[in-house]
Amino acid sequence: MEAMLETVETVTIFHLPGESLDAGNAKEFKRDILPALTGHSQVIFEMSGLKFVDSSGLGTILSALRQLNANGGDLKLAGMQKPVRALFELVRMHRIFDIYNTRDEALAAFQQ
Amino acid sequence: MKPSSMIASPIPESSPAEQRLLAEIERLLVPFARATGTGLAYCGSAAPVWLAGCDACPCSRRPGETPACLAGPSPSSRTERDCRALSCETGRLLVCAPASQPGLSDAMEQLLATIDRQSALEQQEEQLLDELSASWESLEAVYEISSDLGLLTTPEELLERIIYRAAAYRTGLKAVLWLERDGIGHPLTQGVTGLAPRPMKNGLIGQVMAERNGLILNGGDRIASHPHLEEELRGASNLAVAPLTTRQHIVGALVVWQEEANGEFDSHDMRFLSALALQAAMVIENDRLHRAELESERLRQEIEIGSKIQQILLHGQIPKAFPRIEVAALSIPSRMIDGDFYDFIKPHEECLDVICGDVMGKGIPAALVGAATKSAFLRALSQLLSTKGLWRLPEPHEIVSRAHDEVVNQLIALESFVTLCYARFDLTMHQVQIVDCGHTATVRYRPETGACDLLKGVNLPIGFYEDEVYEQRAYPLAPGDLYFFYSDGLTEASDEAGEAFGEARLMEIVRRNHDLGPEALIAEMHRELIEFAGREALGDDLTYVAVRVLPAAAPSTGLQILSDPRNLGRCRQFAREACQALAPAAGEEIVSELELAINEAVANVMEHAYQEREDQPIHLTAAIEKDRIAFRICHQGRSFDPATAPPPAFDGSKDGGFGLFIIAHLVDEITYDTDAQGRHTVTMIKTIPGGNHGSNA
Repeated sequence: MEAMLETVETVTIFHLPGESLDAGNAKEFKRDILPALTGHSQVIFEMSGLKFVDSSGLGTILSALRQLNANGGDLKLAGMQKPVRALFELVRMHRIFDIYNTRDEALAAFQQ
Repeated sequence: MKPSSMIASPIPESSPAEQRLLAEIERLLVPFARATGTGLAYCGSAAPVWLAGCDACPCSRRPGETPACLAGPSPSSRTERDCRALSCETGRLLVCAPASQPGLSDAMEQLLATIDRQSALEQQEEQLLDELSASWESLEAVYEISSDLGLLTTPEELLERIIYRAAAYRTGLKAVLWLERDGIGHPLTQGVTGLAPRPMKNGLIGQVMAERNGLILNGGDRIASHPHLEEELRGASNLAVAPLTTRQHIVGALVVWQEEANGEFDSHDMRFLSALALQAAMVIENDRLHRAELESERLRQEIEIGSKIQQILLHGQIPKAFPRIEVAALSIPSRMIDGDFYDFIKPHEECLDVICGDVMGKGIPAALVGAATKSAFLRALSQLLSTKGLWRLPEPHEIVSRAHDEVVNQLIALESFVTLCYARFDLTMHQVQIVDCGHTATVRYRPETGACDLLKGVNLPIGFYEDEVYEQRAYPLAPGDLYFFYSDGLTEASDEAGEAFGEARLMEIVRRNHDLGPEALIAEMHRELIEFAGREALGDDLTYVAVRVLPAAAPSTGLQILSDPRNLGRCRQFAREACQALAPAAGEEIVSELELAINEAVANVMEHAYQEREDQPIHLTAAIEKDRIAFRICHQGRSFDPATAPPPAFDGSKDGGFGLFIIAHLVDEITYDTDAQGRHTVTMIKTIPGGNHGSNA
């Protein structure tokens, strides 16, 4: 699994691949995407391509957050589709993550 | 000794479909079976054939003998062997797998289902091409002859052309057109010599004329045993006879036959011959009327013949065997013929194409333009199908563009144009694709909204503008959705005070009668129209076509998968489709919630009950009871006590543990059961607001 990376000044945007992030590909995500976070401290996950995320998928995004936080970095999420957003709110993860409607809003928050 | 070399294929008397299936089984399943020590035998049209031998099974392995597995597992084999008979399109496949590898038979079953599906697709493609070529050839022939009406002057020339066309339909055909005058038949021939005028009454041809119905006789023996067979038909192996009928008279018969047995006649061929016979009858009748200088009667006859052209050529037959689509159509010709036409194409049983069109102008020229346009569409589809290497159906806008390219210049030259609506109902994609070319707005009723709306495209009619680019629009399609197509004769009909029937009235009638079913809806619409207009005879042709999607049958809502997490997407799709089929009132939010709940529950079974083994069976079913939808997940893994699950960490400190919390918040009830055989079932129930589908109240 490979995410497309985009750099805007100090911020790295990961465009998460695929249409779903679930127990079927969460391990792949952990194996391929998490190591790619190393060396970045301001990270945005652009999620607009994902139509579906389950609890395993959410778990991998939590791992990414913890990994970044442990190294003094920060993760913001952008572009969630409605069902994905509903899952984050259901398990109260909207309090843990910084969630923005669009990539530009997330970028602006980093640049403030 | 291992009997694995006993492969006896191809089976001599098997059908192409069976041979294709067997070849695929040999290519895909046999190596798999050999590698796993699984016995495979195929039982189809011939004696059972062993495809791969099993090492341990006590079943009979001699070729030609029915294997013991056929009757179910024997007591001695039950413990070591998992023996099953799997059904496929053309027969049964017996699988005798070692019981020590429990997923094997399931995997075989899935592979076989895939092979079956592919084989069915290939067959559908062949049938579709066959069907299309038959109908456009006949349209083409008739259209060509009709065009000649203007060029050729004498009836003799025209009749010669018709007989030539009949003989050229297939190689090796002989054709005779018998014209009857005062009881004596006069032959016009192609490929036949030595026929003289003779009385028509007593022979086989005379019998067809007396009965006024076409006749097909296939097989030399059957033909030879006919008691009154004409001498020239003695050596025929297949023959077909179509009577030449006008309004009042039988004026002759068109006879074609072949002496080499290389192709039987079927109903397509009969349709073609009938169309030619009709043209011949029209030529003769016109000639008769012309001579009598009965101009007014000629006109009436023309109308009569025109409306026959319309029935034979312009209105397609409604395809049968759609498990989930209901279709009805009705056309009521007015005194003046015009060019309303419709046709149906069935790419496969989950997909229906509807073409409705209306030619500007009236009379036989309009009817012929209609026939030519329809022919152009069928040919466009046929050409697009045969140029594609893979099984991909050309999209409606591609078909419309191709047909447009073919007819636009003719239409411009004729100063005519055609309004048309091409709609594809695709149940696998859950959508309707419509290319509207200036036709009347399509009325759509959706149970979800309980209301009708009008679907209107932006394209110009065909024949307006040479470089028109056709835009296609897609609309979601759900069970219970109803589409109503019609000609402008309906909306433009007026009452005694001059008020038009109009679209608002039409939509209201569709809305009020949406649950009647297409056929009764059309009958009701026509009744309302007559009542509104205050008279039976309306000035314009009327055409109605109604298409409704049925809710899927409840028993089919099941899914069998192996416990590989990559199958979760299929589980979500199953949840979505089951909701759409069983509870169409469920909105997008509820459907997404159920998708997530089922995903979480199945993922739990894979991770905990089966301890991440990926080859174990999981069975999903869905059912509806009044306003509650129930999903059941059956597995044979470890039982699960939800009380022992740790609570989720809402502070983000742990990755997992959210599954049960999520399910509990998305469904109304969740229960865990275990039956006497140790099979576990997780049941999840959710109420659908506003949905009461269990009864048809």
